[in-house]
Amino acid sequence: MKMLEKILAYLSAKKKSTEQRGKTLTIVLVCILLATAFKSIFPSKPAASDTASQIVNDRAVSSALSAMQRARSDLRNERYSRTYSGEDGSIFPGRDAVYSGTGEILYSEDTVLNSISKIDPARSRAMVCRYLYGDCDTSGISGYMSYLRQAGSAKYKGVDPVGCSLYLTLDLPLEDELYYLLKRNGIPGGCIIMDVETGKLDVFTSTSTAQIDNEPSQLTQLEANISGKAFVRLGITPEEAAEYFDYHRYHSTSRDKDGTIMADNYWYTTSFGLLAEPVDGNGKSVPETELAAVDFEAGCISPLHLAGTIQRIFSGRTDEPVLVDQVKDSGGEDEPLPETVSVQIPAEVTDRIKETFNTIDTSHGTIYYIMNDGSGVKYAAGMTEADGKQKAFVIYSQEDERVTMLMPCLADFIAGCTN
Amino acid sequence: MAVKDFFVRLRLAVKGFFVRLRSAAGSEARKADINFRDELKQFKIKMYLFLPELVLAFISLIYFPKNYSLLSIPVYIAVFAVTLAAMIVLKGIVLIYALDFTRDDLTLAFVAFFNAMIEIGIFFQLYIRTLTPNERIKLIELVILGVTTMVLLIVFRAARVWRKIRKLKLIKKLIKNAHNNPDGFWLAVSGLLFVGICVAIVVGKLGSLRLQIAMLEGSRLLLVLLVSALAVLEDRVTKPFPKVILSLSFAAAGAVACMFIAVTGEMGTILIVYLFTAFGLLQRGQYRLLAIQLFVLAAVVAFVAVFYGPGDHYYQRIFGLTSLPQVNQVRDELVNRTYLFPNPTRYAVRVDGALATRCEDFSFLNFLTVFGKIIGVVVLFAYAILLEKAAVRSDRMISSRLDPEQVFARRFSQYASLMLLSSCVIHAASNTTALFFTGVNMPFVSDGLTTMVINVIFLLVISCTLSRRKETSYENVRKDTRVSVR
Repeated sequence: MKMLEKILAYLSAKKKSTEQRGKTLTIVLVCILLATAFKSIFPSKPAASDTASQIVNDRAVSSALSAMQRARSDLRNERYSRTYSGEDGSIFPGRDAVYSGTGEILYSEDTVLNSISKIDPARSRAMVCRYLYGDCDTSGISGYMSYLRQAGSAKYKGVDPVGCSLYLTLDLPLEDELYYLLKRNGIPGGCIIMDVETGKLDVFTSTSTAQIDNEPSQLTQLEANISGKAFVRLGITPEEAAEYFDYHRYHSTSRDKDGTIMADNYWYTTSFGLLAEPVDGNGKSVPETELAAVDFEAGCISPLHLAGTIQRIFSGRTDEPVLVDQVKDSGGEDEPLPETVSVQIPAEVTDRIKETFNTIDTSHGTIYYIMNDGSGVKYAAGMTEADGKQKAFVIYSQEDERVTMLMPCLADFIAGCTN
Repeated sequence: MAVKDFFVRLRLAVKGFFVRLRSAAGSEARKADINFRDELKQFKIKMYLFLPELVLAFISLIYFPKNYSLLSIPVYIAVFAVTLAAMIVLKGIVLIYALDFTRDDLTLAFVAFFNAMIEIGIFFQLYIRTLTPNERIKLIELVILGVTTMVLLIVFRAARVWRKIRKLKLIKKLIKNAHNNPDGFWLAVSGLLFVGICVAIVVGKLGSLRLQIAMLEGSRLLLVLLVSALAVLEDRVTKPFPKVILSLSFAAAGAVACMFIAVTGEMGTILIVYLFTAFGLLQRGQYRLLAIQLFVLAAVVAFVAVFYGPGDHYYQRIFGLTSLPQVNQVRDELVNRTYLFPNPTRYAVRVDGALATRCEDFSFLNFLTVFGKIIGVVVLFAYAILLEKAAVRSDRMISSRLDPEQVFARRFSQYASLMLLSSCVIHAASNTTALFFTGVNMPFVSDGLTTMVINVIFLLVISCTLSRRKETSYENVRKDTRVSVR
């Protein structure tokens, strides 16, 4: 007991006078404050990830995601070092402009979106370009792929970013015709056409977007609003949907306040980025352990994903939608495009799925299609074979079922296209 | 009667103000009068009490027009002006009733500074989050709270209320017990407070998130009360073994509180209590106990490093901060926003595309990004130094001649200052991503009604205690004189 008392007395002994103890506290506090001031004025560099912490089940998508994250990390580090060093220049080629395949300018830094009339299909194209390739506003650079295509804050230093030009795969005459097909029939919706052989996007347009929910970017083609029942309609099993058509294949996770791993989004891969699709119908995260219980049909996909699915069925490969045809540097020389990897889909799978399509013969060719004119987004999706050209299509509208009546015209329009 | 008294005092105060103003421009002979010069100096110090409102009014006239439409600018300016006016009236009432705050410069600085922090918190809510319906409700709550406080101050005065409360039977009995058996009384109080902390944390854990947050804030208040009561006991006890046990009680209370809070998983609050204990041990001069505390922290960190992997939540919070998306967002803002000087252009932090600028967890970040890094750092220094001075001076005001209640008040003031200081330091460390915890607020600035109420209680007790500093010295001199006369 005495030993215990001695030990406790030794541990709890108070040193120094009140004044000296006060000085010790002051010194320690000043050191802490100086360290905090240093971290405030000279903050640490941010690192790669700016979205969910990881993607599981990743195969081909992991390299795309890593490349995007590396690019974003490099860009952040570059901006950080230039803030303090004051140096100009960038490791990234600055964006010059975005062009059509035939050289018409679609979007540049001089494009003032609000001045483009809403009834002009150029506005729809410009919005896509802005979303994908960046825009500058008071809050900084916005845009899904903007990190890969902009030259940091050089613009604000009075230096015009000059560099790579993007040439898109879009067929402008065809796109304009299909835009006006919708517009003049008073149907708010969109149309996507992809070349079956190459996966290139010929048409990627939408008209009024007022009827579609959850559209911060007003890009209906990229918003997940078509029910996963489309896969049921095509006779695709959940395993096949995940394996070959990227439906509920890749998901991202994060931790909530309690440390539980939550699945945030499913992802659909394209050549220009990853598109998010909600894990559950309400857009909320779901504990990863309960993911398997989420109903296969309860999910949603974007019209682009549906178009990509049709394209894969008829090409027999797991291609990604392609929007950029060429990249040229400031000297007009071609820049290499990133390689994409696709896998062959077993013929027994694609043959079985093709039998679920209805057919209609037109003067220009046969159209293979599925259709939804019931609840949810109305669409007609399929493949048209006209004059030797195979094109996958989706034409859709949130609530106007007349959109499906336009489907037979598509073969006529496509037959007239040059691609 | 109270209302009539208020208006009489207001008239005298206004008249006095103009008399002094005229006198300041008066004759050289008058200015040479040393008593008058001292009085004028006191008057000027009191007027500095209102300087923050002037500065913030000027700032709002620059910041709001930069970011809102022509139609909404007058609305925002009017709302903020009403807030500032309410604060001016509140301070005016304090001065009129001369509630002892005006005797001491440190107390005046304390009250002025932390009132200004409350006003800046409201400014951030208006400027960053704008006047959404949610913010309107919060502002109404704050205005009602302020008006209620003002009415209570005018109609009821603390001394009169306390005299009435002391006449109640139960209170009379408690006071009698406290005088007859002070050791037993303070031991019982300590025991009750300890049980209160445990119950509060358990109730919070079982309830909703809001209840948990409120209970955690309440438990911090109870912890400060507990360590103050234990300090009173420690000073009174003379037997060696109980004295040794009680001298360990501060560290023990902090350790037990940390363990209980660990049940809720609120790592930020654990760190605040940990730092509070460390500061307390430092100020008490118990360096060996402090060394043990640091050793325990090192052991916990080593445990996480060995037994948790890089993908684990706890590991990331210590070793892998950059794997947390918000950390990169915050670092991005610190890197790219104004380097040193204020920038009125409103900013937005987005996480996964959604607006995530917060006025609860990112108040210091808001200082750095809205007012510039130099001003942010200066405010942080002023914040911390004022609280540290309050803690040190409260400690120095303790003497053996004081009654247990007086010792309790001074210890409460000391430990309340340390608790506020700990909160501020952890918050600043989180916002500069030296650590990263959400749910740690910057006292008086961050949003949150429960937190604000508790912090205002701390502020009132600290101010009352500090303002008695000169009076205490005078009382001690008087007592000494009486002794020498005998």
